[in-house]
Amino acid sequence: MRAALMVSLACAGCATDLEKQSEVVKLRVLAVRADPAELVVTDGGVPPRATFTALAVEPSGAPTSVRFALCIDQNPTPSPTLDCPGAQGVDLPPAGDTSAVFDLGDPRFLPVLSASADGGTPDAAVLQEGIAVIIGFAATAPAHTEPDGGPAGADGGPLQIVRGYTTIVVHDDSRPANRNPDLASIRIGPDGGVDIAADGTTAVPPSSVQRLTPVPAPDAKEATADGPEKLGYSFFATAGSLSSLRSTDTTATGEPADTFVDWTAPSATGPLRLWVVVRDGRGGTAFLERSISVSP
Amino acid sequence: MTVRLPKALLPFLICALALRAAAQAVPDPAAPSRPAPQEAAITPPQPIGEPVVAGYPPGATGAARVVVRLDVDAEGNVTAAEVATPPQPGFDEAALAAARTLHFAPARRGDELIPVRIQYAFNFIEPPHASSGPRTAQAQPVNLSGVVRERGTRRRLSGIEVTVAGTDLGAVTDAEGRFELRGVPVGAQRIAIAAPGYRRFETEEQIAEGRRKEVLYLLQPLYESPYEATITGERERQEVSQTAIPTTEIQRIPGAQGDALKVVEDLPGVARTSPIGGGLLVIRGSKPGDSLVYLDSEPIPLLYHFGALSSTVNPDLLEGIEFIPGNFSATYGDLTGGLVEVKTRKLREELHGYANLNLLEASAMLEAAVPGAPGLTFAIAGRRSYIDYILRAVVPKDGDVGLTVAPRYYDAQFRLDYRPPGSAHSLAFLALTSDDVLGLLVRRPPDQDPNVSGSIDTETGFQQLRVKHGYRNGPFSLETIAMFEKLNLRFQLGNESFSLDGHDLFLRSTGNLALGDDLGISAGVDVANRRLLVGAVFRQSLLFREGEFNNQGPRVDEPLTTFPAALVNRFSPGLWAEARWQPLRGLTVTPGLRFDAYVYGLAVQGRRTTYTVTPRLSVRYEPTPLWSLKGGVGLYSEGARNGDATRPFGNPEVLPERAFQVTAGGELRPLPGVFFSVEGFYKKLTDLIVRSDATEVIGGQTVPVLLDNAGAGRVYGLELLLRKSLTERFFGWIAYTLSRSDRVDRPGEPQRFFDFDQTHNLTIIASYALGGGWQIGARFRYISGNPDTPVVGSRYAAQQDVYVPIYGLTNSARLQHFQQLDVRADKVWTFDAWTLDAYLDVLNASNRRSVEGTLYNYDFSQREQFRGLPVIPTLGLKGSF
Repeated sequence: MRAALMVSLACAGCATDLEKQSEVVKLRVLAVRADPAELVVTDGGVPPRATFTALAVEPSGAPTSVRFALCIDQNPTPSPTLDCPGAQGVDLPPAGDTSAVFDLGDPRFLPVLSASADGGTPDAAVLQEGIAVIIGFAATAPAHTEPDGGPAGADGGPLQIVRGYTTIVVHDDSRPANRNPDLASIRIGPDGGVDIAADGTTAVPPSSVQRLTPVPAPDAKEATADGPEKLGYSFFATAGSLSSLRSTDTTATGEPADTFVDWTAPSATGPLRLWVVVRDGRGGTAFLERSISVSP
Repeated sequence: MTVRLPKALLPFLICALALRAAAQAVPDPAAPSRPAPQEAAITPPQPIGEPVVAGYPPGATGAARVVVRLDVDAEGNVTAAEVATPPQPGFDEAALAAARTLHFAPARRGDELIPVRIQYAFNFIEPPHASSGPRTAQAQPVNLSGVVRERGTRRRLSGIEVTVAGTDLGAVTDAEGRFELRGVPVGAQRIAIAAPGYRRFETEEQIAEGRRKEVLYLLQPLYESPYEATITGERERQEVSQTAIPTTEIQRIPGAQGDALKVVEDLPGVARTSPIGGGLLVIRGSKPGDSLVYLDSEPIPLLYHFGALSSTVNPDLLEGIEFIPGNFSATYGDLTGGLVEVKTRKLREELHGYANLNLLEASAMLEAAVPGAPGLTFAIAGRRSYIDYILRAVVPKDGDVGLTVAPRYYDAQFRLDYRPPGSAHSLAFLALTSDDVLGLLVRRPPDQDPNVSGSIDTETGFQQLRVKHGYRNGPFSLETIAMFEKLNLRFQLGNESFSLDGHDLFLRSTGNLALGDDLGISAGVDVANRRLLVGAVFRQSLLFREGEFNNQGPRVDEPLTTFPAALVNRFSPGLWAEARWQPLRGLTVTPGLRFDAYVYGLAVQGRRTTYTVTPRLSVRYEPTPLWSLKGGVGLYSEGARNGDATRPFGNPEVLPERAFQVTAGGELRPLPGVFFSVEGFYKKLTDLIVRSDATEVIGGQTVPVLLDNAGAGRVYGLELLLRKSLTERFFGWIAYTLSRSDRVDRPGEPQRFFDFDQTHNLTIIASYALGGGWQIGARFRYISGNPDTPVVGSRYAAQQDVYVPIYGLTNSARLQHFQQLDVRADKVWTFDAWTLDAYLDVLNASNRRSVEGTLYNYDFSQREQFRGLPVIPTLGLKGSF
């Protein structure tokens, strides 16, 4: 009983004013997608390349930019203090405000990747299994200008800054590359609901509880040696309250699960934004943004 | 919202059950030996010879009751007597004079005669002036006989005087509680019993001519205390630092729920580690795992159900605990901290038992002698929780977390003792079993970790079979214990899993030889072999170590390590010898030497053997029973545990950790039952096993070193204990510890605080019997806050959708102090053949929710204090017969 008490106490402790991950109230990076999801090297072939795109959002609509870099320290569990991008990274060429290109043929990257393979080239077995390459990023946006100053950036200062890292797997052509999953739509309402309109015309009453159900594209789930991929979802909103940050279609131990979450609309009327991110657990990522208005 | 719970609370959360199981993958193996005399229960002294009657003081009137405290030596003689009750002129002198003429069958610890301090009461009844004649009439036939028992417990009472009012006729009950009266006048007679610790008993008997009347008298205890003659004198103190708490006190301590082990946290030198007590054992600044709990000198692999609920051994089978925080003798090995000895009690020969119900569980126990088999007694006890029935009813079936196997625990014990009358041999058999299970289905991953979904299943259990043989012949005694243990630990936590099936053997033999009044030697061998089938899929950071206790959980983005099921072996034989020399009166010098070998690794390959030789010395100078000085110095070693010496959990090359311990202090017994102790201690810790970031090449492959012996530490402090042992109505103590414990994880790194460094630790306990079956008690604790490791930033791990914390200096912050008041009230109803105890135990009665850790939001940019338990009342009913 005391353990149960502790659990209930822990839940009581949850009833705090701490900011929730599903609430987007400041600059956030909600996901980073690599296209393609994996890089496949072939003997004598052209070095592959991938484009990284960050889902960097700022609720006020302030412009965001994201800088990417190949990290010099390629420890599979990177130090969170790694200055990458920065002194411990080699910048990737930008391909837009929130995108950059990672080209294995870029001569600047070879010394880094060789060093991670003990100064040489990875042996065939390692390459067959796959090498997870660490890519660091830093997203920036102007600090809020609301009267209360708004929330500070993750690192403080005049700019909001969010730093992080992602990985992309490089392997040989003995197996096909993993593909990114795709999201077809986000449905809202009970009994499967209806698609949230892409043009932002969907409206819900204030304080109403709405069921959000992500709809993956028909070919989103690939077959793997361990069975079909397990898709995990993350939900974010600029207003209202989500019952859970995450859902999955299949649990880590194989049980099927419901992917929906419940979202309680805010009491205040007005437009807001919702995001759903899907991950296949193997490096594949997709995301979808929708706008909704809350009106009586 | 993501709320990150401090690691201190993880053991109470679902996933922490698994963490604990992982941390205890390879249980502590030490199998210490102790001299045989320490093993046996103490038998109180019994009055012998002619009944001693205190003469009614000339000129006095009315009745009086005088309680005296007696020091009874090993021959049964009274060496000191003093009055414990308020002054009653005339009666006090008469009682003291009578007390000094008492003679006892000496108290015994097993077969050993020992000196003790007891209480004894004289009841004065104004004599009838008209009566005369002989006190006994031996020439006449017995016409009134019977048995005197304690009401409720039905315990036979010996040494109780039964008198016939208006005459000088009287008889004293023998060891079986029987009495016989001769020549009781025919007709209605008033029979009176005025026994110390009991209400005055009077009844009227009709005595018929030429007939013998057989009666049963039940005496009502004054304070529902099991013992009137409570042994408050310590058994011979063989350790430098040793505190014994009897079960009679343990069962009344607020907040402990009658659990012997939870009381340990209330003693000097013990850190508070969990909100409800009894979780991890941290003694004198040593990490959990460096200190062990033994049941009759053999280790218990799992102390509590679900980490910190009820203990896995029935408290009603216990005599009490002995706590030795450091500088223990050579009889103990393979540990560098302190230890707790839990002692089972001597079984009763009469049918006895109880049933206990509270909000959490039900338990029962039965003990008796086996009819027709002299010297053969048995006890059987069991307990089962009913949390599962409650939770199944209240947990929604379609929530984010569902129950697949509702949490349930049980334990059972069976004991058989054989002490053939007149034989030098004794045999004891003890079987223990314990099992906890929990199954959850997590349908939506928690914010903190997307990998945690699906089945969360845990099962922890063990079975032990113990056989103990004792032999004593004059100055020589030999005790041998053999134990087989089966362990079962398994959990699945999303994509991580761990399973352990252990089959362990322990053998220990201890010999003692007295070479005279001033010299004795002891020697022993103890062997432990643990053979474990282990398999795991885990993250290294899940196996958190000292210095990481305050971290925010394992790294979610860490790759999994797979350890296919394999046999792991840990063999730890030890040899020791010790002499006890008394060169001067009151001076005892105890040099000892211990040899330990540690052989560990996979069962089939890669075994590594290390040896340690650890000398120890203790000195005690006790010129009078009033005061003593004591000191000890010694080396200690502890082999790698919990898989630290097995890849991929650890490194086979790690050496045993070492400690150098010094203790010095004094003891004072200014009044009977009052004990004051002050001790200073210092520990130097070397070769501590710590994490390493280095790599090495083995067989052409680069592998992480994981662990090495680069750590060091020191602990020093001062401990005070002022204690009043349970006598009639009151017991309690004040325990205070001032200490400092720090570590250096690697040479050149800054010194840091130990995870549970608690500068001030104050506990005050008081319990008082009001009479009429009422007893009240309170416990107050004030403890410095634990060190805390602040999070100073974070990085977003995009693949996992989590934030990885950036830590500041380890344990560079400190939580607020802990302060709590617990209260307890008991009401005992005593019936003729059984008692009913209703109790209310209120944890945190003032509802002051102390800070237990630091909570962070998802990206560690916000924090707040995590507060612990609110007020928690526990109600229970216990019926005993």
